Amino acid sequence: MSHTITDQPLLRAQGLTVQYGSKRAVDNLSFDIPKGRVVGLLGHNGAGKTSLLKAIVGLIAGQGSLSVLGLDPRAQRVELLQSLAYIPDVAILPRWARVSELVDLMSGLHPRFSAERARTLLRRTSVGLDDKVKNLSKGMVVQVHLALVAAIDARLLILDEPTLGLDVLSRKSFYEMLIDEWCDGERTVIISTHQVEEIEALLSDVMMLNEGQLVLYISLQDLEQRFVALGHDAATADAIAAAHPLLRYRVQGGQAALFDGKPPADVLAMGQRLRPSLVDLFVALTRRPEISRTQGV
Amino acid sequence: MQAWNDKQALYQQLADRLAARLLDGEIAEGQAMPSVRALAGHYLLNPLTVSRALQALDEQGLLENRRGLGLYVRPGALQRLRQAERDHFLQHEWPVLRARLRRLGLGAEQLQWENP
Amino acid sequence: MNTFITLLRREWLQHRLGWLILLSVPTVLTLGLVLLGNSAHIQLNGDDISLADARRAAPALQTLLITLIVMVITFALTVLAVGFQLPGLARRDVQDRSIEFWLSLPVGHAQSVGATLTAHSLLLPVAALLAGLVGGQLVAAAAAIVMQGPVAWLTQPWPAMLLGLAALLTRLVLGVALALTWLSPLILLTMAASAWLKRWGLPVVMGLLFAGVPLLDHYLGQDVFKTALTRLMDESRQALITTSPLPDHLTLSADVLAILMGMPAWALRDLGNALSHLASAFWLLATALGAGGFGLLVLRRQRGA
Repeated sequence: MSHTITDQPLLRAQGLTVQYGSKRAVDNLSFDIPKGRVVGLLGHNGAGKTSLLKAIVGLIAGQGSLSVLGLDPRAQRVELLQSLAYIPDVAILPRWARVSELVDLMSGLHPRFSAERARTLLRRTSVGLDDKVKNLSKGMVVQVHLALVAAIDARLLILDEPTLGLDVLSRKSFYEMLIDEWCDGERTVIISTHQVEEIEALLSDVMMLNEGQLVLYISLQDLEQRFVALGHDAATADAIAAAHPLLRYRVQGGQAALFDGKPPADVLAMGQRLRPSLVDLFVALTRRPEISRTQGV
Repeated sequence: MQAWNDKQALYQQLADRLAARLLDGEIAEGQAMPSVRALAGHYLLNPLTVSRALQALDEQGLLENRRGLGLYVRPGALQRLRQAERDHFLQHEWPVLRARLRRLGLGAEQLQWENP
Repeated sequence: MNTFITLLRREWLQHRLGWLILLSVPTVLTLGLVLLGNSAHIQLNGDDISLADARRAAPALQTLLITLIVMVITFALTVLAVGFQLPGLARRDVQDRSIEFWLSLPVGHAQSVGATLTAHSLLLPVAALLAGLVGGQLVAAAAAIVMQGPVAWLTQPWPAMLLGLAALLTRLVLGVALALTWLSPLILLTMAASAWLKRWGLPVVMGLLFAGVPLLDHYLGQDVFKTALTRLMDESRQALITTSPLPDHLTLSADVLAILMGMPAWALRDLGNALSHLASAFWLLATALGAGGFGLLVLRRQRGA
C-alpha cells in the first residue's frame, strides 16, 4: 500500500475516543491536520490533551480511527516513531547518562537522528556534553531533550508543555529553534501548552479541548475572520451586552466583548474592532477562567 | 517577547513595522527583503503570518517579486509609502489633532512652529 | 542488529561501574589472600590441605586450582548479584519515568526487553567466567612467581593448560546458556510479577514458592510442585556442569597434565549429556512458561510500563 504524502493529511482522526474505565478522556474527536502547520493544543488540566497526544504516539489505544503519517500508531508504532518525535510533559531523560552518551545511544537507536546536528544544537545551550543528566537543573534537562529531538529528521513533532521549567531566555531560544528547524512548510508541530499568549504568534492553527471534546479547531487566519472582538467604553456596555457576546472582558483603556460571527452593524459601530486573543477566546469557549491573563486586567 | 498589541491582526502589525523600516531607510530601494524564514526567526512569528505581511506590502505596491531571487523593495516604494503615510495623517490623524488644538486654543505661535 | 547492539551498549553504559567491581573483586581478594595469607586452608575433596602444603605442589596444579577457585567465586558472586537485580530490572526505568524517553524511540518492545535480559542474565555471567579465568591466571602467575620463581611459572605445560581451560570455558559458557533455558520460567515469571505487581511482585512470588507450593501439594496429596521445582533446580545445575572435570580423589601429586589433556573430551561428553536432557517434555514445559513470562514483560511495556 502506498502512502501518498502529497494530498493526505499528516494526521487524521475520525470519531477518536479514549476511555479510562467509564471516563471518556477523549470524546469522539474528528479532525485533519495537514503538513506545514504549527498547531497549538489548548485545554484545562484533564481536558484530554495528554490522552490525545498519547493516542497519537501510540502509547494508548482508542476507539474510532486514527491515522498518523498514514500509519496506525498502535500497530505500526516502531515505523511511526521513525518519523515522529515527541517529548512528554515531564523531564524524563535517564539520570545516569551523560549528555554525550545520550547522543551516542540515540544515534544507534534512531535512524533519522543526526549526532552532528545534536551536538551543534547542544553547543547553543549552557549544557556541556560531559555533564550527567542527574546534575542538571530541570530547565537544562528540558533544553537537552529539545536539542536531541530537534536533531531528529521527523515529519511530525509533538510537544507536551515543552516550556515548563524554562526561563524567559530559554523559552525564547526554544521558539527560535522551533521556527528555524521546524517551520519549513513540510513538517507539522503540535504543541500543548498553558503559556498561550507567548506562543500565540508562532501558531498557524489552534485546537481547543474541553472535557474531552473538540470545542474548536481553526486556523488563526480563519479565527480572525470569524470571531469579532469589539472594544468599547462603559457607556455602550449595556447595548453591547444585549447582542449576546460570548464573553465580556477588560482591556487596556476600557472593555471589550467577543462575538462568534459579526454582530449587527449598529453594534459594530459602537466600538472599535480589536484582534481577538486566544486566551480570551479559550476562556469564552470553555467558561472556566483558570488560565491567567497577563494583559489588561 | 510580548511585542504585539491587540488592535490589529499580527500580519498587519508586522507589515506596518516593515514599512516603518523601509521609511527609516533600513532597507534600501532595490535591495532584497529579508527572507520569510529570517523574519519569522527575528520577530518570532509563524512564517505564514510573515508571508501574509509581505503579501500586504506587495499589494500596496511596495515590493516586487524577481523570479528566482525573491522579494525586493520596488524603486519608488519610499515615495509611495511616504505619500500613503501623509495621506493617512492628513485624513485621519490631523483632523482629530486640529480639533483638539482648537479646543485648547493653541495657534501657530504657541506651537512655535518656526523653531526647530 | 545495530539497534540490539546499541541496547546492549546502554546496559554497559548504565551498569559498567558495578559490573567492573563485581568482576574484579574476587581476583583482587584472592590475590591478597595468596600473597599475604599463610595460614589459610583449602578443602579439596574432603582432604584438608593447608596453603603452605599447596605451595609445595606442582605449579601447574596450583595454577589450575587457583584459576578454578577464582572462576567459581567470580561466577557465583555475579550470579548472586544478578539474581538480586533481575526483579528490579523489570521496573528499572519506571520509577524515574525515564521509560517514557525509551518508549519515544523507534525500538520494538520485544527487542528492548530481550536486550536487557541478554545483557544481565547471559552476557554478564559469561563475562564473569572469562574474568574469573583471566583473573585466576593472574593470581596464579603471581603466586607461582612469588613462591616458586618465574622459571617455574614459565615452564608449565602451557599448550595443555590453555587447551584445557579453553575447553572448560566453552563448556561453562554453553552451560550458562542452557541453564538459562531451564531457569527461564523462574526468572521471567518473577520479573513479570515484579513488572505487573510492582512492590508486591517479589513477595507474591516468594509466597507462592514457599507457602503456595506446599499447600498445593498437600491439597493434591502428591508432591507435584515441589518435585517439579526441585527437578528444575537440578536440571539447571546439570545444564551448567554435569560431572566434575577433576578426578574424584585429587591429591597434591595428581597428574595435572593428564587432567588438562582430558578436559576437551570431558567437555564434549558433559555437553552432550546436558543437551540430551533438553529432549524432554519437562524442558518444553519450562521454556513454554519462560516464553509466557517474556510475553508478559513485553505486554507490560506495551501498555506504557
